[in-house]
Amino acid sequence: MDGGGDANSENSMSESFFQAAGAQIEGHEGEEELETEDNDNLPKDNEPLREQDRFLPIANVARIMKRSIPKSGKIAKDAKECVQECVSEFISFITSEASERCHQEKRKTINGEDILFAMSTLGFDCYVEPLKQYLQKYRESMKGDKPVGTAEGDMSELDTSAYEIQPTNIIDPNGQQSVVYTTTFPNQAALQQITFGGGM
Amino acid sequence: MAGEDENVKAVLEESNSQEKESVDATQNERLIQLPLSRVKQIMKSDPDVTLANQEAVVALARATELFVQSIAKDASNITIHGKRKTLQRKDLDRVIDTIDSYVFLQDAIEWS
Repeated sequence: MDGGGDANSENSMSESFFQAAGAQIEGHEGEEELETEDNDNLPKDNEPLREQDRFLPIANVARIMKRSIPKSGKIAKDAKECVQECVSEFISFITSEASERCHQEKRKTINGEDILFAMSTLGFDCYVEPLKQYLQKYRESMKGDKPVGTAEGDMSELDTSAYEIQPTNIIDPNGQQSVVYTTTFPNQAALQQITFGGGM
Repeated sequence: MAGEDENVKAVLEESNSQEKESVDATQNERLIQLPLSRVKQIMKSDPDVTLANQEAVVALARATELFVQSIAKDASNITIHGKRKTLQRKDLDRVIDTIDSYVFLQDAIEWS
């Protein structure tokens, strides 16, 4: 699966959290570095995003819109396009706020809690509860597909300010991907291993 | 009396079918309908953003779905109020102009 620039990958319906995570984030679990994108055709950091990359696919957006309007209703094309733009604006808006909080707390990595906090600050408080429940289900579904240590379930509650997590991808003979997380504490010599996946 | 019963029945049937739809919708809602890589890409386009973990991307993708549902529903109410079937750009303009939480969009979109 090549990554976001491929039109085919956008239109495919993600069938499960696992597939969504596996298919869309190149098999990485947990920490995802936004900066390094080796094996896909996303633009590099210093290139401006192409028009199609700045927005979420209109088909997906329209599909979600349809769920919220009466069954017999239709949506004008320019209305879909407008929502498409609004969506990108929304993502940037929330991300910017979350990022600021991160910086204030001297952390480098935006986590789920930052996103929830940004929602609450920016007037989308009503999303926070549904999102918390959703994340809970998401974490459980990730656990179900791969047996994991307790660390993964609590990842968002961990204070990430003191350490970085380096994921290493491992593919076992069944094609199952597991990730080995190595946690390093800058002030400590000891390495703490957090491992995931069956048979590890 | 019979007429009233029929009305009540109709209302109940409608809410039952809505409930079933919302259950189906809930099933759908467990799946992420938006491409996570694209969400991540848009997040990344902010120069101040360095890293985000997967949970953040997933949370934001799901929040985005909720946002689309919200704005579509609000705009749709305008459509219905105007006795129309097709949700139009002007309905969106109207909600962006009037609902507080959408104020951030006012400078972002080109007004029709």
